[in-house]
Amino acid sequence: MAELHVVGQILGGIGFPSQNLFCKWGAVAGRSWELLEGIDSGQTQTDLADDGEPVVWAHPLDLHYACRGLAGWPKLYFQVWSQDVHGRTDICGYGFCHVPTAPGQYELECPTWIPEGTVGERIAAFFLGGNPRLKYEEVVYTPGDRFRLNTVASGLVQLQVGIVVKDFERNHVRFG
Amino acid sequence: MGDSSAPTSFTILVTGQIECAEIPNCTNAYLKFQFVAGEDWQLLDGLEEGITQAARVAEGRDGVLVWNFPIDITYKTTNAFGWPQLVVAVYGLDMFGRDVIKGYACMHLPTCAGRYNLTMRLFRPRSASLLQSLTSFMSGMPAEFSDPKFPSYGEGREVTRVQSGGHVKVQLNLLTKDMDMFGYVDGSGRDPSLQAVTQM
Repeated sequence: MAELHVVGQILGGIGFPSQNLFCKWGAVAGRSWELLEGIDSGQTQTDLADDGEPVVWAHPLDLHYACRGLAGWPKLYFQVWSQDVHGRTDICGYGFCHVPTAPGQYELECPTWIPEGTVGERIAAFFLGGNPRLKYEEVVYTPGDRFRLNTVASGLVQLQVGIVVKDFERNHVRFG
Repeated sequence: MGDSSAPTSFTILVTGQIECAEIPNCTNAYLKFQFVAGEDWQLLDGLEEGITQAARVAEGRDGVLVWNFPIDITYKTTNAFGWPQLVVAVYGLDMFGRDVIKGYACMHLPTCAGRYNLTMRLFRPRSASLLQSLTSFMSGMPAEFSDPKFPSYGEGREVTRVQSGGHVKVQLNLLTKDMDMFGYVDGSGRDPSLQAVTQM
């Protein structure tokens, strides 16, 4: 049985409309993967960064998966939220990225998007807050029909991950 | 090396230095560092924690605080889970000459053998209210984490509010031994053009 280690951190975010952000993150994998050790979901600290500087979350990731089949390679998904001066939170970005499939050290930038409402909804959101949110959050990381969804691009989530694998080569898996 | 029996654990050796830091509005600071590793990890050699000297910014040199502090640590383990993290806390002097926290940072050591120039971004807790930030300014005791290892935890971070600013530069060399005897592949020795920055 092969094993996969994902060791790294969610560094932070850049390019979002607000500079006071936190990130809710999770890891999801297929049925033939089992999380042996580690925490697979969580929420980072709320950081206030200076204008132009990246927001810093520095949230450690340490996941240990056992793999019985290659389908359903683990994915990380993110929801970036902003907090205003009154303490209200609003969605700022949804995004996901696959855990790299080859061992090594990586710096990843995951693009994010937010759903866009009608013109009326956008004007109301500008004054009152309350961006439209997804009803079914699995849409972010599952390949399915998204054609009814209109979205607008948001910032980037930056990650630093190291991938260590065990016994994949013994099972004739090549990474390239 | 030269054993006839199979190894019972693999080893990682990390050498390098905590090079310098750039922190806005800070001209005098020292750094406390600590290595945090999982339960299966055992320290073989080196110091797991330490304090650097107090450095001051040189005139005319872009506000860089140079420590050049050596890091030399060896761990042995049977499980890659709990890979060591380096947690740092930078303390500087405020305008009245008192020690105040300037920032915390945390980073996992690289998992792939090689040489790295890494940047750790600093953050520090925000005061809970305007009154608290005023009293902490007057008394010289700004908000700090009660547990210095807190930046390395994956849980309990959602209740913290921080502000970020400044960064620490660290240079590390990582060596591993016997990882392949355990069936681990860490990705070193692969074609470098296939690695490095991957944008998704």
